[in-house]
Amino acid sequence: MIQVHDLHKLYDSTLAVAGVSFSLKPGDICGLVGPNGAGKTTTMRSLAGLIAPTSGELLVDGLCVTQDAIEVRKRLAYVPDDPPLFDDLTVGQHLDLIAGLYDVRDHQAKSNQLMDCFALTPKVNALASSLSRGMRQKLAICCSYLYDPKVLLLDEPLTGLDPPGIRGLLESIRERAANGCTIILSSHLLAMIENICTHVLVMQAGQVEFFGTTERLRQRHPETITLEDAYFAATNQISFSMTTSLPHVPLMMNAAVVPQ
Amino acid sequence: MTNALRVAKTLSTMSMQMVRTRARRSASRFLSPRRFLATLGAILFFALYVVNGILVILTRKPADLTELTLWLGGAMAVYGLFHFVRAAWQEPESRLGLSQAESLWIARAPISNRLLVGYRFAGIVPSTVIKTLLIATILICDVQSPLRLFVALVISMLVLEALRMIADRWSASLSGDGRIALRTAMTAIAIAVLVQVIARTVASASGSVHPLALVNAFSIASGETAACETIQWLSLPWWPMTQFAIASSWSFTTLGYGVLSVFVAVAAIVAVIVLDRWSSWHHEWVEGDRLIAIRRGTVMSHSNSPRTARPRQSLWRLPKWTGIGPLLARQWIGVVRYRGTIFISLALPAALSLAPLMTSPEAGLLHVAAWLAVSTFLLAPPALRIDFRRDIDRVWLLKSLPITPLAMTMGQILLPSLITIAFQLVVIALACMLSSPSSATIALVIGGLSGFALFSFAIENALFLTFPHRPKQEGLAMMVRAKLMFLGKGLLLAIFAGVFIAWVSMCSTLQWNVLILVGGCVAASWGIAAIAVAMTARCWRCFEMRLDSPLGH
Repeated sequence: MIQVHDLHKLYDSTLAVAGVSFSLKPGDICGLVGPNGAGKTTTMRSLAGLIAPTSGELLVDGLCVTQDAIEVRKRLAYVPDDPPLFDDLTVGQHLDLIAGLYDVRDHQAKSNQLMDCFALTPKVNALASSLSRGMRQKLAICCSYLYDPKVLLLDEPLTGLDPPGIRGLLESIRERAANGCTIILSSHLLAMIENICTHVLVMQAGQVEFFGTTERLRQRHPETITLEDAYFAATNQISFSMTTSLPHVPLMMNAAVVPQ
Repeated sequence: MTNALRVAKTLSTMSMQMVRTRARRSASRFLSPRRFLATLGAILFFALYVVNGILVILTRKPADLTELTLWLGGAMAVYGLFHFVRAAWQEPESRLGLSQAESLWIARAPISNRLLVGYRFAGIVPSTVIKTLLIATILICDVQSPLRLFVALVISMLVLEALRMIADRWSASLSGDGRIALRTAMTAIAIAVLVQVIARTVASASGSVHPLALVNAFSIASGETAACETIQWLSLPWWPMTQFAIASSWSFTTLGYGVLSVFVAVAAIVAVIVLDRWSSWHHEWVEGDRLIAIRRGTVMSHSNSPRTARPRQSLWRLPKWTGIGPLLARQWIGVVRYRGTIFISLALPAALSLAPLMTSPEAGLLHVAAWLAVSTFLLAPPALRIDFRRDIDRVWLLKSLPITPLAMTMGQILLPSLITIAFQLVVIALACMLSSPSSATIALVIGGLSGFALFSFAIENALFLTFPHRPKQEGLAMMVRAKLMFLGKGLLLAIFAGVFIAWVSMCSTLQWNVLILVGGCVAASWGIAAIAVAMTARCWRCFEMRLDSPLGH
């Protein structure tokens, strides 16, 4: 469903993404993880067609992201971190707009169902400018779910959500993946996403440190217990839980995550 | 219904909903008791503006039609040049000037580029129509048919908008050498136009230093420059519109001009679509080229790894001064970054201020000071937007800082005020070289104008905090706001000039010492500056983020 081959992205003289390659099948949920500035958002935006890649091949459902832009847009939804909304439109009007742009027939019932699911029904007539950070995030997710995309790119979707919101979102992600949707989920909350991800893409300094199934990541780092530990191992960093499990590591190193 | 029609319907419904919400919000803001005085002032000025406009229309003689066509076409061409100069120097805007929400939800939707450009143009039509109504009202007595004038002006303005988008997209696609070349070329053209205007103003003024005569000379010079051959060649795209506007009756020729005007507008919109595509392609090509150079090792690249991290850049170290120091140091970064733009923005006021000395050998430092006051009040604040106006998106951060409103105000407006004072000192020094003023005159001018610089920025920020707007907000409200601000400032300047003349007359009648004259002026100038700063601090203290923050679009 998603094929990325040798993606490079240059901002002026900064190489934000250098040679990223991976592919995902329908139903895969890929956790895109890495430290800040690793190139996660750039990779997602390139896939979403929001920024043009400097070089490399990006295919969604067999279609080239740059050549078949309109067809790709029909199949793909992207929800950025802190999504921008139209401050002069209400929650309901946002959903009407997306339904019109993506030709969603009889969208009212579906909109209502999504708003119920994400506890937005009481806010249907509230302006986007009056919504909290979490509510804005939920509205953006509802907008992206409305047209049932085949590929979902969610950049830090858990930030700002309340515990029921997080649970609801993770359940909905699982459900959509079960229906064949391919999902890339970027998050720093590794403990939250480890149970739903089938794959992990670890990025650092614009490059892929690891890509594969979660099982393979654990096999590669058998000393680790959680996805978080495996992530630290993959990015050559030491986590708190790992240092406590290794008696020979001085306690002073437990204080913070330090580069090796 | 076809896909394009359905999308167009959805977008127009959305636009209408947004217009309704904005109108409701603006009405509630204007009727808010918190803004009673400001709203009353705005209504009063607006009434004055309308009355003045009606009087001008009733008393003005109809202009010569040939000259009118030259001015209209020339003005559009000069505006077009201005858009190119601006695009060359300013940071690239978002694609087609779309907001972040529009870029994510509309530009990323499965719609064609043609439809997106169409949406963008549809969005500017209402404000263009209302702007045109204001301009057409002034020109109504010059032409036979108000309808043809109105239609011609709407099309002309839309073509100008298309040119602005072309300039922005073209400039955004350039990098490195290309941008430097564009900046050099556009600056050279702008300087050439300015030199022409100044030279013609000097010639038209015929030695007079009277402010009204100079304003009149400047107006004549601007008209002559707009009508000159080079500008007229540049105004060729607007030729059918100007002919359509002045046509005396409906005929085949008139109809031909009308059809040609519409054709030019359509061609301009098509040019935007083509250039938008080319710009994206060119940007990718330049980026790809640079990547190849990096791979070959001929160009250094930066990545986020610590090995290639650039040396740390520090803020200018200033004492805390109750919080003013760090704010000033942070403002300084912006000044250094935009030093070229700031220099160019202040070069025109400097030339205008020195114009009296060039037009008449009898002119003295006081004439220069009068123009410096005009420049300080009307031109410096728009050129130096490094105060609260720049930080409207960071109000939450500023409000959270442990700094008193007065210190915050000083921290925000001190640096632009100091730059303006430095600009005044340079002009005064040049003027002193060309004339020989007395030391009392120099003290009066320096002392009075420096306080006036602080007053100008304080008043500008107080008004901004009362009626805030986003940095690049456009539309009718902004146009009306700009005109009212200009009118209000002009009125204030006239009052200050009147008070100054009265004070000088009183001092000479009562034969007071020159020290009292100078001291009184300087004290008055700094006194009103202090009051204005206190007012701005109060406006900042009363600024309620939930109610006053302008919303993004």
